Amino acid sequence: MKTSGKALASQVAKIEDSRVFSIRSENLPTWCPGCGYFGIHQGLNNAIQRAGLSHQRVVTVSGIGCAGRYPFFTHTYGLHTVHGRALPVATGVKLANPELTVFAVGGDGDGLGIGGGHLPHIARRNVDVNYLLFDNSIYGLTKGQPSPSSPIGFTTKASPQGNADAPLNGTLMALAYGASFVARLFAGDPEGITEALMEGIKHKGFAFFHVYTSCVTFDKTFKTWPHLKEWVHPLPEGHDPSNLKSAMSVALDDPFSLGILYKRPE
Amino acid sequence: MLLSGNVAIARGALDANLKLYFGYPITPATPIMEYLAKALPEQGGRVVQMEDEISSIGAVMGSFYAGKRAMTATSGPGFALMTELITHGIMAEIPAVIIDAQRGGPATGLPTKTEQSDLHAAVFGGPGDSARIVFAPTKVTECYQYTVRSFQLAEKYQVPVIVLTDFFLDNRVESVNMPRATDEQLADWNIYPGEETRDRYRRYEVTESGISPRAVPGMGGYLFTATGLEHSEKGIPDYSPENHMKMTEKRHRKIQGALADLPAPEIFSGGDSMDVGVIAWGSTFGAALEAVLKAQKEGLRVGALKITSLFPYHKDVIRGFMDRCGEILIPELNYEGQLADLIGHLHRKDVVRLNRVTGMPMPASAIYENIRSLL
Repeated sequence: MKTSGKALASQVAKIEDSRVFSIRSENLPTWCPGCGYFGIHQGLNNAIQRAGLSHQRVVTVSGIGCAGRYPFFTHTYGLHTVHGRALPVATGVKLANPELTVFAVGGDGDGLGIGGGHLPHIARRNVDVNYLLFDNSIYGLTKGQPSPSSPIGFTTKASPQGNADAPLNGTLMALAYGASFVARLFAGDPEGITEALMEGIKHKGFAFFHVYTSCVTFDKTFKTWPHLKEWVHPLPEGHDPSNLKSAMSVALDDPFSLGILYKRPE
Repeated sequence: MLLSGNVAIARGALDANLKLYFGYPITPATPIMEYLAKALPEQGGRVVQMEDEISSIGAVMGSFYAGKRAMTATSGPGFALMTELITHGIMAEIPAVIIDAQRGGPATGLPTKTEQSDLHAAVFGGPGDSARIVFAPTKVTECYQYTVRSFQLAEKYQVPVIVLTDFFLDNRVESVNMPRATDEQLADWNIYPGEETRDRYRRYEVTESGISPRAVPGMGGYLFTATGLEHSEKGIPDYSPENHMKMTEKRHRKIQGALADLPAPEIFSGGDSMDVGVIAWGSTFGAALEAVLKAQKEGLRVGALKITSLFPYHKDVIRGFMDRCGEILIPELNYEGQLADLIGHLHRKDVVRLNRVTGMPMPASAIYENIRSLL
């Protein structure tokens, strides 16, 4: 398909008007074309802009993995730590300077596998950190092995006979650990991510954002874009986010419903 | 006043204006956390008991990254868990202060017995060429002074600093004048970027000293990402051959430069030439000095060298002492002779090792007998 120069110029102008570039780093993302992380990037960038946060007062902390590279691609202070340790490091940053807005980002391997022991403790301490779990159910940076959220039977190079282990439900875990704010989101809906993040930034306490996303390179069977688009839907009509029990029941019974599941009343 | 090594460490940290303590219970370091849990809130700080030692060192580094002093204290098993993040601090150039109160090892070992077998772990532990600062006090007042100094060193050299104590030193009580940090010891050694680099800041700029000015969040015009990946001067991942050579060299140059700010070895000897020189570290030094003084009184030509800076260490001073001695005796509470491994190569012949792993402090008599047998 050919695009005329005029149409291209108008598209560029539209993107520039969106102010997305002012928060983008000069380092372009190294993610694969079609990766869901671009949608999360857009959603978080827009939230930082709309919330009017000063870039120098924002710290983005990450672990290791494709999502771990996030801080390089955003125009804030960044802290790319070791595998699985974004949450304790983010705890130190926030306690040292409560005036900073702190985002922790990482994938399902980083957050539910090697770093899975930290989620309960940041939740029970209710540290004011916004944690985005990029959940594509696969280890992408190491080229496709099953993750703690991969389904039973999931085939990869490391699980040629099919994954034998049951998947974890990150949303349900966060609720059970006592997280004071829990949202479930979709990388294909950046606007939904922005809206939930705006609420999470305002929330004084730990906010957990479980973001479903797709690895277009190494997962051809499970969390593909067509599947995710078919599965995701809004929370049940009339869902009460102040009710922990109903949030847990939605997390358990309706795992692809999106929105703010729980917000502990002030 | 009566003071233990652990309380001296806690008091040193308080006087150094510690803001946050993150830790996990472990013998024999727990009393430091317990002392601070009471005293730190009284001066506006906070103690957080973390879920493990990995999160403790992680939170310490997050705090320093954000510009506030923090500390953790642990023992061998906890220190082992911290080593990955310690090397992250070395690579990403993030300060940290870690007290490693040694006990008997390996593994869970002898939790309530004394030993000096974490030297290799403290100096070399972790992946890669990872130069850090390690020093070991030999008495209670040094526990205080070295803790105060560790914050200045960590901030100036932007690296984890390890204070290596041992069970005996942590728990023994000495009658001392309560140390007080001087203004010079409390001076801010942070090196922040100047106005001229605003908006064109390179966090890991290669300088002659190896020290790159460090910005902290909140400063406008100096955004950067700290990373444990090898990186360019701007902090962007860069695995090119020239870059890894250049940045590895920078980090090591920086740590060798720290020698100027580390306590030099102390010589306890009258003569230019000695038959036996005893070199000791940690709580064993006290026993070594007692044995050497006794031998000197008997007219024997012996001397002692106290080493407190384990890494980097003062090669020239140590070699100078060794050159004046016929035999070098290194008594240690470990089986392998870990200090002997570290500095033995500086002597023109094999050093003599005196190793004990009884879980008990080194007796002066054992050192004295070994001096005698070498004559």
